[in-house]
Amino acid sequence: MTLTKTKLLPIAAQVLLFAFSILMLYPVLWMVFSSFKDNSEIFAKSFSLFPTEWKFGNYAAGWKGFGSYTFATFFKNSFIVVLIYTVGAVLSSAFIAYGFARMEFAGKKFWFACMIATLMLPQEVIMVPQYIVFQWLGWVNTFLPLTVPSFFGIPFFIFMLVQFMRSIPAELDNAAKIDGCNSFMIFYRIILPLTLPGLMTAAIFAFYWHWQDFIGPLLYLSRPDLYTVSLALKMFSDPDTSSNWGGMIAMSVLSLVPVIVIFFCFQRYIVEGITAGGVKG
Amino acid sequence: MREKTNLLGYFYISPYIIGLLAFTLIPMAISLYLSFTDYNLLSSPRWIGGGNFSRMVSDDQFWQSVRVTFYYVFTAVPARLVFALAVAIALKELNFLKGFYRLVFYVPSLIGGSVAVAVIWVQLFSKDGVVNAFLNTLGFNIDFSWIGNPSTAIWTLVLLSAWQFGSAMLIFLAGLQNIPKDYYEAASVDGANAWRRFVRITLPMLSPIILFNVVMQTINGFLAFTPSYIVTEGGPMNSTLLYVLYLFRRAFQFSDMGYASAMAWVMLILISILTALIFSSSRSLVHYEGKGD
Amino acid sequence: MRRRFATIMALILCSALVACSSNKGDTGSAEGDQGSGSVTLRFAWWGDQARHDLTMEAIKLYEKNYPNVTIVPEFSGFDGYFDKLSTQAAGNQLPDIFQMNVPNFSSYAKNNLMADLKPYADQGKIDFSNINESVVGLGELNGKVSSIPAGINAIALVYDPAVLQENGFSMNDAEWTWDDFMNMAKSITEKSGMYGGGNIESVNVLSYYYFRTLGSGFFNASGDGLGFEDAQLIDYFNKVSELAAAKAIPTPDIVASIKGMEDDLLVKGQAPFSWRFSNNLSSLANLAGRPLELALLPGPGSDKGMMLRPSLYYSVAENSKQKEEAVKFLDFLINDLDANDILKAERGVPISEKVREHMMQNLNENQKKEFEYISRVEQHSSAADRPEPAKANEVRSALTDVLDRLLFKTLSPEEAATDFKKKASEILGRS
Repeated sequence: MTLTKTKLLPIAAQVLLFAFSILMLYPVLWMVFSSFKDNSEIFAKSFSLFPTEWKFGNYAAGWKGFGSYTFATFFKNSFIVVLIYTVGAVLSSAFIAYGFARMEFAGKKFWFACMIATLMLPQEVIMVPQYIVFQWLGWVNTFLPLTVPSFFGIPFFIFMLVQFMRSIPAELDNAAKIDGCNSFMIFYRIILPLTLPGLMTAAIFAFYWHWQDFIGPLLYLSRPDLYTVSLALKMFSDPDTSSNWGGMIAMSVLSLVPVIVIFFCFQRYIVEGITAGGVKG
Repeated sequence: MREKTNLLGYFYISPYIIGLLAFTLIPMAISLYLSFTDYNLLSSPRWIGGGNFSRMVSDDQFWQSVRVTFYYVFTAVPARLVFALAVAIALKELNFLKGFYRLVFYVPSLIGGSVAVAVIWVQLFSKDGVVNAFLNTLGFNIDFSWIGNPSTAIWTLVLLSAWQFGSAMLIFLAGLQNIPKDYYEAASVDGANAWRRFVRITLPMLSPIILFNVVMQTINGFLAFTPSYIVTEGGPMNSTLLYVLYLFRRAFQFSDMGYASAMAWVMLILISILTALIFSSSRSLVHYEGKGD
Repeated sequence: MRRRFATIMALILCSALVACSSNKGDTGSAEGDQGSGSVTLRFAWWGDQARHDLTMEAIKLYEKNYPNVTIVPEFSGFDGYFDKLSTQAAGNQLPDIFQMNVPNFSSYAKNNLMADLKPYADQGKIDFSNINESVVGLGELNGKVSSIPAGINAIALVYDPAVLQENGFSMNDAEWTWDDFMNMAKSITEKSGMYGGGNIESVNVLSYYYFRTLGSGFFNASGDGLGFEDAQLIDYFNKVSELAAAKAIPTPDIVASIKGMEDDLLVKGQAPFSWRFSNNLSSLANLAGRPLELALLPGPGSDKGMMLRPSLYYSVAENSKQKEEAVKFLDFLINDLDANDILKAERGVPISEKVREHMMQNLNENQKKEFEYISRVEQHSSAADRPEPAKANEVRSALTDVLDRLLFKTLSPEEAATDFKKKASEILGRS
């Protein structure tokens, strides 16, 4: 039964899936191919995907960056900021989620509700008061406002990891307790490994959100030698003069590469995490 | 015994509380205060009591932004979730090219917020853009710009959002992986077909994740900003004026920080009510395997 | 699992170390000197790649001449520049020298965020002797010179002489009227299918030109209300509607897809006109790849309507801890001949006569046209408007809304005028 059914359904679905995926990719393909087109051609002949003449100059021109700061600097900055942020976010959120998912304590509902509530706050509004706080701490024009807060947990990830942790049976905890484990050991040896897919997913999200974030860098980084890639990309298009679309698109394509690479690497863990896991299937 | 668990619990969530205080509560308190003031960032705030809120009631643009945002949320979020779940399930059944598909469907979310994509999106939907060219070859005769037309511009943003279903899809995938295979095998042995397996096993097991995605996507929908900021700038004729874009404009373009803070609190209250509604209705629908609440 | 955890911990520690070491001490704030004699100034501007490169070169020249001074550049694109600037202002952290523009000038000046340059000029720390008094006045508010224009421009019509000629027209911009323009526009549209009127930037035309030709102004003298008669506005709306009906100007959805200069209708050969400012000529001509000219806007009354405007300003922050050094650098930017050679008048025609004369020899075709246009406008203009009310930006945004609705035909010209007047009063009443 299993063999015949799984072969028939997928074929029709597979074709559909494939066609759909190409459609999904079209804008991205457009972007990649445009990075090899001459500036004048990019929008003039937007229908044609392939360049009439393959030019690699956009990459060199784009890489040059602005006013003596090349994209080497911008990429370095982005990496530093985003890596620290990701590590801080995932670890602290897992730690905190464990507290919400497994501990009972007075006021737990209140703090949980608090956390959900902060998710609904538009970042744009506490932007200015937050800036004032950071400025009082002396952190403006450093990477600190963009990295340190992540070590105190990110509500989105906490919420997500709580849900993941809740689907792990309590019997495992109890078994470990009987074996003499304390709460931290339960966290470390049982919960954390079983939440691995969640952790990896959180890591991927943390990475690319922060990679793309430009409001944070915009506010807190005034010196071009600290700029991240996301900020530098915005600077390519100026409404008052001609924009270097070719350069911008080329650099945008380049900025995609780290994110995709990270994704590929962590993708394996999502699958591995479960099959190597323990209890479930 | 009670005290021990209390202390322990607080130990684990202490980083969160500290961060909350410093980076969220204090700024939030400041913004609450500001919502009762007239503050243009360049000079000190001036107390005006409920002035901002009363102005909101008669502000056309405010109501326009509310309308646009509700429309956006109630079209883009379902679209995203349906695609995300459907594709996640399809991918789980599939073994061929799985990694490729996962990547392909995820890439749009990766690049969605960038300026380059915004520019491309404008081009795609403009009068002589690719979408029209494609539709024209199919026989339709489209002569206008989707993005320049007040009645259709919002759809381009909805499409942009739906295009980025990859993140929700990933979460569903991770959740699907967590469902033990033996449940399905047991069900097949009992004679259940694919649809019944889906309804009786997948959905309930996935329900915490579904709840999570519904809540998050809805909140994100209400807080959407970047698409309208970069792609349409709220136009044409404010047909894509999302709430947060209007808030941002008032805060920075019109130096009206007090009013913007007031708007933020209105949105906060609105979303809280909505989320509470979602949670309470979920009590009967959501099934927790582990220690539940 | 344990191994992975360990490597992750190691990663955190390493990256934390890297971050801390590379950023400690990089405060970049306006705190004073590191040791006697050495000075650090923060200089902020917006622009494109070209401007960034040129400005950095000029900075290097200054630092070479004054080795004890370090100038820390803080540049970005235009998007977000003022968002950041106002956040910095709120935290009393404005850069020592920063670029300012006309729409934001009033609010910053009224809130005393910019230092008064007059005392420094009186003491000879900054040289205004080669600058026309009226130009210095462009940065003056309430008796304080809060900013100095970095360059001058004026509203202008960029046009393609070849297209005009093909259609049997010639340009006599000192004497032409709106009727002449409308005829030209409609005729060219009929004959060639182009948008004969081009994309009229009505908000700019109305803000900075139209009402002046009629003897009134966009804002009234005291800055708390509008300065024109309803009938005058309705008249303008009628003109625009007429052109729209004749398809001589593009519909709003076409306008919406004009994102950058390369999309400009004139550049793409879809219109003979581009409604801009004089310093845009070079970019447009380069993109179009054919010779373009500058013309005064239609009259009657164009000599009352035209005025010299700052393309943008330079200001010194009131919260700067080394205003004198900042002023000295400013003096360099506007008066030094070598600096201006480097900057290539990219921010507009230089305000110093001496600099202008010096540069005339090295200008290219298009730049010469821009300079000559400014000289013409100097002779054919009247005094600039007083600085605008603080909420001017919002008023203009309301005007854009109303214009859109007019062109989408959801409002008649009369309704549009009434609607705008109502909104503007409400906005200005809130100041």
